[in-house]
Amino acid sequence: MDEVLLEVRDLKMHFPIYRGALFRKEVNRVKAVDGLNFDIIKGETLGLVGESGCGKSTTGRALIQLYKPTAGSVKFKGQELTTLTKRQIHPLRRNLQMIFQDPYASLNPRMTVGSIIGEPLKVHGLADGSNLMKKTQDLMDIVGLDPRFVRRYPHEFSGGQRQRIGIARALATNPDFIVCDEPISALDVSIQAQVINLLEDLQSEFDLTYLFIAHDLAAVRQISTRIAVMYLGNMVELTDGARLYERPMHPYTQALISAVPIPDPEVESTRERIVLSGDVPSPLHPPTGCVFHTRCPFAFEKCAQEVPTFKEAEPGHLVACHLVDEPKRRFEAPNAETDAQKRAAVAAMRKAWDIPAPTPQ
Amino acid sequence: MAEQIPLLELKNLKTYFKTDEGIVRAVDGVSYQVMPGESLGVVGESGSGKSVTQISVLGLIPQPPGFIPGGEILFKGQDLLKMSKADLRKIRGNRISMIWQDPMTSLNPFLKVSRQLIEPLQIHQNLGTDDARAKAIKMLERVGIPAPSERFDQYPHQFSGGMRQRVMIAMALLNEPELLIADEPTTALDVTIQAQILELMKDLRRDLGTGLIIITHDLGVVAGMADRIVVMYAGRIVESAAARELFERPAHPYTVGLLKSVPRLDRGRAERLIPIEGRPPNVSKPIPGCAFAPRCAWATAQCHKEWPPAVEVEPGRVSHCWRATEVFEAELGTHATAEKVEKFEKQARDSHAEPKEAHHG
Repeated sequence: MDEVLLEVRDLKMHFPIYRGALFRKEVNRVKAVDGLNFDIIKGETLGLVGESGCGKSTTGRALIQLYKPTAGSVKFKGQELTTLTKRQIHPLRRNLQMIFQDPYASLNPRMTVGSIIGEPLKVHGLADGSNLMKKTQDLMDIVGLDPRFVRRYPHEFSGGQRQRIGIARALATNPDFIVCDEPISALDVSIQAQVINLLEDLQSEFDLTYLFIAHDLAAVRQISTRIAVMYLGNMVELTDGARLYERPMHPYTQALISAVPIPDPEVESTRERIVLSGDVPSPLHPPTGCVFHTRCPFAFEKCAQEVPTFKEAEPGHLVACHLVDEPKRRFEAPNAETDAQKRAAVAAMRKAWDIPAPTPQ
Repeated sequence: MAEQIPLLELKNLKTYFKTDEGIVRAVDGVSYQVMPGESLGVVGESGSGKSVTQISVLGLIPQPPGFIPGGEILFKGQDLLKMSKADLRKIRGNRISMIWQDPMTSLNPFLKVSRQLIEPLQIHQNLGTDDARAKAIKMLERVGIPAPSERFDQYPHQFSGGMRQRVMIAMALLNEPELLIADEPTTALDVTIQAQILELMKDLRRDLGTGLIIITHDLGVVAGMADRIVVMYAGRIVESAAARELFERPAHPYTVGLLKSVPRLDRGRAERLIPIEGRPPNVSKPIPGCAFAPRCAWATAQCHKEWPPAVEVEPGRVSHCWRATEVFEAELGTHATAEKVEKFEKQARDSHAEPKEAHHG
């Protein structure tokens, strides 16, 4: 049986907006994350994709309690995290680590690499004195940095090497779970593969579980066991990596996948793209019902009224979409802007539900 | 058949910068052609000189610290480098225009969009305010901005990122330029918005017959947008070819490396990505041989000493590599498996494990 490492229920993370100086009054709230339900299995990499502002980074931070969630529950190995005080959570932090997106901003420029990597060891009382130096240098070696550079400063390293410093720091306390928040986005193409490979190696060597947050679907597919797709604070689809790409069921996932350019002119010249109209609505005033309905080619009346439940459309494939219960509507895309768009949208749906296209007479 | 005059032709262009650490050879002898109506993709990593090359074309290199020690930039046969500032101003923004990477910073936040759109029309076409207004609103409509006459008098911050990029595109196209230079036009955008913008650029190009130079690090974007591609590394072009041929049968080890290090969404999860080891060189020191040699599996003693001449592996296909023909004949493009590439790279490495006398003559 798969062991659940993190169990997330109804997780909400709202950021209030206040007005007035003396009588501060909450006037509105940004619903960055608005009710998530999912598990993270021990040893897996759960990929979390979505566009900017969809709440994927907020989710990562709320999971390891860098933010105090507005509502909901996060259980780590069965232990509830959201009710713990700062002091209570401190010893748990060594098991819950994070790798940040920007290798330039996330390292203190006044600290040497050695003290950056060694700090978590000191904070958690895992090493001191000469032992600390040895452990720090071991960590540098593990992530592919020359241990002789232990006294150098971050600015002396390239972007890719800095990301290795960030990885070494996250590894220092021998954690169970690491949130990787866009760890490769700031790196050059030729360096990205190095970091992905390193993360994969470390995972098998140290038995790590990752939440891998990124907007690059191809990179996420490469590293992830399962992938979750977010849109405007909600999870819309969650399944294993291959299936999500082969048979995406949510109209948003379908559009997202079709929007990713493939580095092959032959493939590109024949692709039919689903181009979503408009922009992502503001999380201050999310649409009623299904948050995607304003841009969805398939949306019908119910979508604007009722929030779809996030449930299994088939074993191991969670989708939040009314089309799951409305098979007939899968082949009408009344809101598509053009006929070509309609064809592309319906073709994606047919593929997802494995229904052959009608043969022309 | 009469030879067509290229729209833009660069001949051995060099752009250097004086810095405290010495002279940075940002662009070090770049030559290429863009025919009328053609689209050229310029691919490279940060620091490869791909942007500086295009900024040089527009005459926007700050001098000092920059200077152009050599080369020609021929726009329809006229050398832009020899042109007076006044004459260049008549071309820039009129017959050649530019779309910048970051729509957040490249529009003036203090001026209404209307003012920024009317200005180029007044300067280059001598239109009166009303005519310019009408034309600009029409262009906004053409690039897909909803309710253009209402939005016309808004400020840039009132537009979303994707909409701002549309405004930029509208601005660039107002004077119906013959050549459009787009520097990472979609890098700052989300993937579904990127798809919208790329579709728009394709449509407009089809309608207006504009020549296009698209600069990007994203191989997927050029695969869909470019007719021909030049690959840059450390200030030089290492390979140039028609888009399909480049992907099918690269003739430079760096191109092979790029193709193999990028995960592809439409293929299953690779066992392991093949990264390009090492990192891009520092161009502030002169590099005697091939700049890629320290990272190249195929490199021989000669590669470290001498910059390779252009090798024409096939008519119209040029690679700057001492072993271009071998790489080309190995067929290591998108259809080659990872094992095949690794096998050839291993063979290449072994074949020069013992230093041999470099072949002269």
